[in-house]
Amino acid sequence: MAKEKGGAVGASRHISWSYREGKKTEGVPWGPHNLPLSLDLAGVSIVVEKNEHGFLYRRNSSGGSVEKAIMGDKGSFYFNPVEPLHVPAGISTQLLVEFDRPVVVEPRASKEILVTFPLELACVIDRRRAGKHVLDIFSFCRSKFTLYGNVRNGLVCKYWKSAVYASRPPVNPLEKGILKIEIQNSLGRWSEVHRVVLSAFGMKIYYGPDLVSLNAAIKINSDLNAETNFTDRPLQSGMLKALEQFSSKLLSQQGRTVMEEGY
Amino acid sequence: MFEWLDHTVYSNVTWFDLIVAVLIYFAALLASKILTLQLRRRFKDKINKENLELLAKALSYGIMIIAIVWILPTIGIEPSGLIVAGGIVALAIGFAGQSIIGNLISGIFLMGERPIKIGDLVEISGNLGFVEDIHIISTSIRTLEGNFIRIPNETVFSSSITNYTSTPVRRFEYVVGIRYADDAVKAIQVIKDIINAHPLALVNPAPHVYVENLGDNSVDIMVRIWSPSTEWFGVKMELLWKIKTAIEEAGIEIPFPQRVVWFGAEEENNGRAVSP
Repeated sequence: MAKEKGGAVGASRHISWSYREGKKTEGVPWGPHNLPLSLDLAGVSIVVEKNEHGFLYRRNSSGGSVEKAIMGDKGSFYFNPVEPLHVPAGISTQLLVEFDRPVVVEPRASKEILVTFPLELACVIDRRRAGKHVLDIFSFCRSKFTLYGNVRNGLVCKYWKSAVYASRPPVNPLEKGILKIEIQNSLGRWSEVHRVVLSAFGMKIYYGPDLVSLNAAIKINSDLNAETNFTDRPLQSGMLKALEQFSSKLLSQQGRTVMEEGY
Repeated sequence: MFEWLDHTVYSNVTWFDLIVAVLIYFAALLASKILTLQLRRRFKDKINKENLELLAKALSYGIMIIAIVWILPTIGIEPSGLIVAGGIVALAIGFAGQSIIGNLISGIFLMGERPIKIGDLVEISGNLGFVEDIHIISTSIRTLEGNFIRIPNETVFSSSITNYTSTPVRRFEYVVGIRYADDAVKAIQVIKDIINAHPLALVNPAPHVYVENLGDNSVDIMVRIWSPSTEWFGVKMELLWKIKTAIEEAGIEIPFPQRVVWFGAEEENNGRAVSP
């Protein structure tokens, strides 16, 4: 539960947030927060403290710690879910979500399913004129990678296995998001979908106090070929658009992935 | 109306000849522009910019030289003398620059075939390193020790090339020996858990862990893991130590090679028969 201590302008505030499955939790303290502050997010401690240069950012968790000196005397701080392809950096720009059981779709039909996807969280410092700067990105989920396609010219993708849901499952909004997938079977026969490959470019993530969401579609073109893309729409009203770290200047590359090695 | 075209301008050259010569020149100019444009478009992603410009210029000059050789008789200049002189010069240059020409042609073939590209980790004629640049005459690589090696393209073209990063993933393997007294099934499970916990040990292609050999001193467990080609070395180094530590923590030992020697006197003292 979120607790705020202090509150005087300029004084350090402490916010603590935890998640218990099955229990209604208070919303994630996404921010913006005034500096300095300290946060305890389900075992991850984030402290931004004032020093003689400006501020010192520190994140401590069981996985390690990060420290950054911020040379500036003003700014606000907030969290933002970002495309889950930064940790570890530079390995892949594709997310492969494998379903725990295949989804069979009737001929020439369009069906919707819900699955989960891993979240990565960006710690951002923001100043009105200077703009936003990402200080750090971390995740509560374990990273794992896989190959989509063949060894000769396949795609290295971030791997995530999810159960398939018909309605929204309870999830820790700092750990997992809800991915709605519209499966469009354009074939005149039944199609079985095992996985989707999604591009980091053009991912439209939305966040609210207790939910992070993403909307995608997969169009089945043939037995081995399908195409995925994103819909720029939140899962429920009142959600805010997350910061986009992957952006492509080419409109044709925005969010589109052709799956040529099965789905 | 067009009788003036047959009027002689000088020696046997008429106005018609001059107009034909000008038309051929401009047609060649247009053809060279179109062909170089097509060349730049088609090979934009395959050949680096400097080399592509060089090829485009060579094509453009080649077309213009052919056009000029074609025009010369039309405007009353006999090129046979020039061709003979040019041929002799070309022959001399050819002998002198045999290796340069060989490297140049190899460079052009390499650019077309593209067995390597800048940034790849390759092994060419015993030199292991990252490709720094591919020029029209030579290819430069930076070895893992940081040395810079320039290899003539003829050598690159004629030798076998191992490209370690041309595929997105790469497999590596270890053989982990355990004592005969240890539980191999447990050891396999410990190793699998370590692999599963590592983000860059790929889910697919799946890792394989199995007993491969019953050796003289140990039960040998084969561990095969795939990881992204760009990361494989770090993953290989990291996982080896993690596996060693984990199996030791599980009470499983990696045995040293050992041989038990029984002396005759000891055997008699122990009341055993000494077999020959």
